[in-house]
Amino acid sequence: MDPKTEVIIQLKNLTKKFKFVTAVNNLNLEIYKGEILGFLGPNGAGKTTTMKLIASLLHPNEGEIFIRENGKLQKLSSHNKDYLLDNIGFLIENPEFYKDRTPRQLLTLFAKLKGYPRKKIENQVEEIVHMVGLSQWIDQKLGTFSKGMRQKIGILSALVHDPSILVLDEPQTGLDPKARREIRELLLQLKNQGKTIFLSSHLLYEIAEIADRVAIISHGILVACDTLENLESQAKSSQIQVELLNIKNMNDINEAGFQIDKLIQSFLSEPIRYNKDSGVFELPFDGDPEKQYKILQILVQNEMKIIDFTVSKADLLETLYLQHISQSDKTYKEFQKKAIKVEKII
Amino acid sequence: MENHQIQIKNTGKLREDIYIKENIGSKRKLQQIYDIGYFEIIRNLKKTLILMVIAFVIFILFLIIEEYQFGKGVELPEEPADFALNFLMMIGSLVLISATSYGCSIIVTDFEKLTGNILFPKISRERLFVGRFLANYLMNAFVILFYYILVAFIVFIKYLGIPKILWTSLGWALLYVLLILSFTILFSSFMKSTAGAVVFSLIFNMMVFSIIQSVLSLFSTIEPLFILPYYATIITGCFNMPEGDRFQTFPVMEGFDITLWTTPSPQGALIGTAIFSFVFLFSAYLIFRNRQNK
Repeated sequence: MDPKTEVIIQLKNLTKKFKFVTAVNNLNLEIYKGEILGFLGPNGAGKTTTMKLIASLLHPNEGEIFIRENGKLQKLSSHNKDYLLDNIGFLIENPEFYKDRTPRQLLTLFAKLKGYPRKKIENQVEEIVHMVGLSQWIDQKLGTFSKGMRQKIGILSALVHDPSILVLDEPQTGLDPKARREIRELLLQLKNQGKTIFLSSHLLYEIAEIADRVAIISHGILVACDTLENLESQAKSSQIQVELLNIKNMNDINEAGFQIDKLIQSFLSEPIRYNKDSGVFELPFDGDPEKQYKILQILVQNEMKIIDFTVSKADLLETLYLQHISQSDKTYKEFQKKAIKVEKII
Repeated sequence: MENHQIQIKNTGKLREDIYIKENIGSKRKLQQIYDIGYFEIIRNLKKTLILMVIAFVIFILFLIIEEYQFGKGVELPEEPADFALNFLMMIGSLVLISATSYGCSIIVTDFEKLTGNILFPKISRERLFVGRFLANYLMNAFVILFYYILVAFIVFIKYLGIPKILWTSLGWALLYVLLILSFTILFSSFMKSTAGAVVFSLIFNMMVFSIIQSVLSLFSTIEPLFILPYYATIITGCFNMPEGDRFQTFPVMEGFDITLWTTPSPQGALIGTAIFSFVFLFSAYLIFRNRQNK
């Protein structure tokens, strides 16, 4: 079986309700071996609840979770959770540690709890701490660590028993760009080692850079799940970013904008925008590569002074994300209105 | 602090090559309980040392009082047990201090400081609970044992022998530790902060129970077996266990008596401690099991 299509975790009709709120609603999701699946959604969409359900920290009201072990997808239950979850490393929300303990002490404990071979624990702990460049900190108290360093230790705590699957809940939230980049590189490195990563975040750029597939959840409902390219072609919506030389003031912007519009208007799905922060023109189109090529060709032929011409993955993901979320919000509001009407009738 | 860089080092090892699961099943469960207990003991070493210092200070205070009286011409008691008893007047308080400081943080800390988010996926809550309880009980018992060893040491120096009743008293003290520790763990299971759990369990043990006991002594002759501090009285009461009634009645005014119970019977203390400890611990576990992470 192709590892890319071998399902390693399967969520079937998963539902979790908290009193009056349905946090996860009939969720069906498959995670493939060796991929990074980005799990996106606004705050309160159900990302953390889904991860807690996989970690058995919460129990679903309905539905089932299957995890592959010994070549078979096995249903997660209270009887086999120790066995099945050994293969998964979890980092749920903000990792907090005992501040008076050191990474060595803490990671050793976690490796022991997960049944990692005792004779190999010392080496394993030193190796993974070295992997994230914190060797000189291995015997320092965690209370002295920066947030980025603590976050890395959090990921290591999920990784220390060498699981083949990692479930990481917003590992980059609240970090500075340097620390975010380091964690991004670490995740790619882990993927290259063959690990499957289920990663939630609301930092679209981080997901766009590393995820093989993206799942978008809103109001507990999975609204999309596919590769970025497939989502783009389904949505028929993309955006080219064009940066021109010598755009200095409003006159230049208006003039260049007018000229571009005149040249390629027929290819655009929406009017041209100018992003003042990044200094680029945004050209919305349907994502067809042929059209993308033609737009570039026309602009070059007409001697537009292009210094950058890109389809940004992060911006694309943002556009797709907002489309799905707004559609989901509309549906959810309509559903709520209907529910209120039914309630009134009753 | 931020001069760390990720050094990419692909070991090429996949999990299947090097990782063979160890101890699945009951052996693994026991191993996890042991690992949590060991970690807890190491983590609380400083607290244990501080409590040992407090125990030592209490011992020194009693020793100074004894030496002062001896210096003033008051003779040593004839029986070594009576001399030992003089050092045990504050043992109930020492148990309360140590049990509160150990027990109150056992559960609440995981929710207060969010350490549960990192711990619970790695170990089930019941094993975590059992491991922590055993570790904290052992440390607590060690502090009390340390105090008794000091007392035994001074008794041996003065009388060249140690009365057996001192070790019986130690046994009751260790049972009382179990009772108070269970009670504080119950508070730890539902309070929002360690400080809250400490304050409320101290208020209950030092004030609420005393008030209830005082009021009851006015209106009733029922033995206060539901008042936790009452169980502390057997620690010293066992030195002179009354053969007949274990209570005394004093007239306050006409037709109005106060009934003071001196100590529970050994059977009563044993059964009461067992029942209360079980109820407190089981309730704490149920609350812990159902408590949601933030």
